[in-house]
Amino acid sequence: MSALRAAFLILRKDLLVELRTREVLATMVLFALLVVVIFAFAFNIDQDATQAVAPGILWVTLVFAGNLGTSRVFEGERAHGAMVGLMLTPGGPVAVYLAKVVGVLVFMLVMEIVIVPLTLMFVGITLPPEGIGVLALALFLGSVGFALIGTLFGAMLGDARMRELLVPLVVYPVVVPLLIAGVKLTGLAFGQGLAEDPADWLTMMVGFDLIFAGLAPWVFARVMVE
Amino acid sequence: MSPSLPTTAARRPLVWMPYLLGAGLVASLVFVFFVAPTELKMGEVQRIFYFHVASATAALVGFIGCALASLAYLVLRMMRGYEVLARVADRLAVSFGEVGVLFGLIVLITGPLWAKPAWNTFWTWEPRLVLMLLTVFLFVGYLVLRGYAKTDDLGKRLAAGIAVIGGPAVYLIHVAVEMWGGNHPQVMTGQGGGLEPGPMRTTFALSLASLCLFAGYLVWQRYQHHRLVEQVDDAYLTLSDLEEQP
Amino acid sequence: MTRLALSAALALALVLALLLGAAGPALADEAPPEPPATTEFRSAPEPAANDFEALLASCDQKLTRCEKENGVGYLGAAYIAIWVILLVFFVATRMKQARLVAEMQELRARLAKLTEERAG
Repeated sequence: MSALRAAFLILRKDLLVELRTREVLATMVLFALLVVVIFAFAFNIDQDATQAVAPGILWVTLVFAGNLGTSRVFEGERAHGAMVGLMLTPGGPVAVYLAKVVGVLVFMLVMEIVIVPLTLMFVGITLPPEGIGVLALALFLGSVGFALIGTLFGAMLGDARMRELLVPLVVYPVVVPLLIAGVKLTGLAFGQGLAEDPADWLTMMVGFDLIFAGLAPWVFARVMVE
Repeated sequence: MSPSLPTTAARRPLVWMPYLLGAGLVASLVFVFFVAPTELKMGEVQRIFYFHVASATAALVGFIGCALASLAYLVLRMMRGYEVLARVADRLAVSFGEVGVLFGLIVLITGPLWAKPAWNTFWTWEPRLVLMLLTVFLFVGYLVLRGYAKTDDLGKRLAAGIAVIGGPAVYLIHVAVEMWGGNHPQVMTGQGGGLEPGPMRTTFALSLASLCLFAGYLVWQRYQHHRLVEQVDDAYLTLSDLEEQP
Repeated sequence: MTRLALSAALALALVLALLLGAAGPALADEAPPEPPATTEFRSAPEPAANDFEALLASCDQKLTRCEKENGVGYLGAAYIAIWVILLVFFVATRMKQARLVAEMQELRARLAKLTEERAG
């Protein structure tokens, strides 16, 4: 149980730091808010057009803002030269990775609780009550998948040169399935488009999360340890 | 420690290999332009098909090879006594990745050139096009990461991680974009396909075989290249060691 | 190689941008037709010389094909692009390899000389 305990302690440390500084969450929420506002301006041909692209606006915003969060997952440790020590904690690298993923997931979910209602308000969409479940599920599954991939690549690319080129080049293609499924499911939840069955898309998102929940910790442990 | 340097005579088996492969490629070109019949509906442009699809196959093989070799590298890297094999896997991975990106670029250039006369547009957001574009992005990222890391070892590890994640990611992108919908010519469906038996099939088989063999030869060339680069680096190290000794 | 990959990626982006730019006016006149979901490639029939009606029909088909698209230019461009890319890659690899072999030989000579001096 020492691995789980180590992971829990790392997570508690990260959340405490965040509670006291509110650095990451403030950045993510404000950035997401700005992106939504800019998109709303850019697509404001008429109300219908804005509503039609609303799912896309929402998911692109979430991915961009989430990227801000994942790119600084290990910033504290790196700035103080604590990466090697962190990897040598009793739980090992897998526990470190899991703790960081849960941390990122918490940040993402908090951000979504703020941003999603605001986005709906800005683009003038009233969410039908039967759509709430699908939307919530899609947001949760998407956030899990994004946290898994984003944390891994944030850790790997934190030190790399040409970071700014590499993150979009590598992270965005990998999360494209989540983005497509998320946009489709959000459209369904808004009552747009054909009344498709959301089950296929939800299954794909679950599959994505499961595959990378298995693979990403292994890659993390293999890549981050010298 | 005595420096182990490679023997002077650069090992050159299969010097005739490029000529044979070149002949195969020229033969498939002749087949494409003079033997294969003109297609009924699309006309002459359909001749792009033979090399377009063969390149896509070669690119796919390159990416799969890169992902598998990277996986092997990450496994072997931590095993004592397998350092040589790990280096082999790493060199193989980068060679496969380079050749995969090369053929991916060919697919992405010939695709629009075929789509323009056939569909009257250079680019449609069509599943397989998107898949190839994103995959090429991913593996360009792989090559950049491997080349620009602060230290060689870090670059190799990070790039291998990208490639290992990239394998299933490419599969998932494929599933997602197929579900998203599209209309690529489904010629190779696995159920015999819509390719007319006779000269068309012969031409396609010939181009596929000659292009994939050429791709394999390119992988081998790149492998030799990377090995030589490492040997040159090692030689500089031993030389400077010797010069520093009193 | 990474520099090569980068410049290749940039070149690709440029080519795509140019193609898309060129496609702009064409897209404006008419929406692209929906391509069929599945395609079967069949060769155009060659009519017998004495079958006058079939000959006429085949001419007609060829004419409409010609009117619809003059794809031969694209075909040529595609194959030229394939061969330029493959040749540049192949020749670049070969040249770099030759340079490295020469460098290696020089290094080996220096190493041999040095070890000889040390021994003697």
